[in-house]
Amino acid sequence: MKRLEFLGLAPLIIFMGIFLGLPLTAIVRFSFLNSEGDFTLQNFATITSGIYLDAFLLSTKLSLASAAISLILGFAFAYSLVNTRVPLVKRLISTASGVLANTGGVPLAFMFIAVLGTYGALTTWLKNLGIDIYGGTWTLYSFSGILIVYLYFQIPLMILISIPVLENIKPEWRAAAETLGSNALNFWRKVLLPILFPQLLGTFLLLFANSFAAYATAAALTSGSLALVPVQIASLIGSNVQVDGANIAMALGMGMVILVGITTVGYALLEKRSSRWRH
Amino acid sequence: MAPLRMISVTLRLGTILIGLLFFAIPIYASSIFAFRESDGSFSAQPISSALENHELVRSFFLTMQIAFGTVLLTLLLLIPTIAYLHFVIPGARAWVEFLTLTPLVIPPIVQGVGFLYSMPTSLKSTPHALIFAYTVLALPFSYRAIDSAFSSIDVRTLFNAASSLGANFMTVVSKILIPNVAAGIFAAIFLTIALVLGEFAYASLLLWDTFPTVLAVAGMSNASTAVALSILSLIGVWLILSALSAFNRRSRGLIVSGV
Repeated sequence: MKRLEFLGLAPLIIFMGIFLGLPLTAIVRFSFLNSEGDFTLQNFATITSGIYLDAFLLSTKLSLASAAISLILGFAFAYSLVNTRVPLVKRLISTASGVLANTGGVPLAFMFIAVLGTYGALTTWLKNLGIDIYGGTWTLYSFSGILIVYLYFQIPLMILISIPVLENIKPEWRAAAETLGSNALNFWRKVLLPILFPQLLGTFLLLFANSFAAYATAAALTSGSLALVPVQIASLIGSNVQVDGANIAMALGMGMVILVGITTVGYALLEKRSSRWRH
Repeated sequence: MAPLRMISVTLRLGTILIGLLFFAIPIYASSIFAFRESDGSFSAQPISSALENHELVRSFFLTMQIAFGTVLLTLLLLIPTIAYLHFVIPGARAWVEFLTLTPLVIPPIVQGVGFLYSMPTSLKSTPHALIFAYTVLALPFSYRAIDSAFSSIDVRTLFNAASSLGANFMTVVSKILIPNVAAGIFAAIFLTIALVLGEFAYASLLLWDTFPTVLAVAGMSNASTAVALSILSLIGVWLILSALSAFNRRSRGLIVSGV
């Protein structure tokens, strides 16, 4: 009888098995094969050297930078928002964050071409003020350019995650600390940060994974010139130039799954650890 | 104490101001880029040229169909399953939640490659097969939204009360449960729509002309139209989300990753 009860879960599990399990199995299988269908480990040797290793390093650098910056800025902004209690601004910002973090992608890329591209509106204004941002080697399509665009979906994500966490800081904690003679600085250093630390570390991992997995923004912005891992995968699948191209793409995919998997599991563990403060 | 307090209030207001500018500057500047003519007047020309672009219009309707299909499939799959979990085997909830989070670990671009190399040709020859793919992509968020709504009510008591009055399982689900978890269902619907309207990786790998992929191509030839549509699509989704959050003030942050 006990076993039969699990039959009720069959539709969901069969659906996931077909549309997530099969694709994942294909990725794993093809990553160990060459285009002839013979077993090989060559794909993994290929992706850990040369341009593919560079792609992993570039993706990691971009994800670390965007996660660190958005963690700090997003947290500061969410903290001010939660404590200032202007409900309208709070609603406005959290819904706007929802949109940017969710639907960002391609629209975000085009917005930034219009803002900071060669003929962008902000570029032109700054030029009129005597600041030519395109005077040197900088472009929107360089590393720091794309980093700015990434912040526009990473910071909103950080705000979305932080607001509920910060709303759960109980005023009693501060009152208790003050009764014991603590000032605001000490309260932050000795109470709040130790409580929030696992949560913040976990969120950093989530932001890292989110940035690492993102494809649309980079694709629409640079049309493939900034060689991030997802961009490399898409170009290997889209062209037949490289020998064993599809298999190398699968191996790159495996690499992404492992990296994103480790960070996401880390997030889940830290989130669980910190959730005991939120009751 | 007082000066410290002043500093902290000033800091907070300053941060909020900077944050508002952070959001407002790109939207303002890109609107100027898209809608201002060279003589300084404003025009809706980019919008009307978008409406004349049949490919764009067609892709928009296709994306709407896919969004509708994805929402329908998500609800059909999740509401009965989650209701069943809460009624019959609450012990399995943690396990199923873990299972539904797995798509998060596999980036959309990787899922797309896997889909391409594992699905039969018949499924790959229609863009509507994206409905299945997008249902999987949305699963971590749609599942959690509906599940948390179910967790906030006492499912068993409601079920027993309704059953003792003679209602069968389907009646309980449609007349008692769904109205009580409507907010969570709305959140799931919104999240799913937002994801479908923005999804790019899958559609571009499978070479389907959905709104985001056509928009990306349009941007190469007509920048102001692409920028105008980008702003409009972000504002459109923002209006839907605002309406939703006004409807349900208790709703938590709505998050979809992997843009």
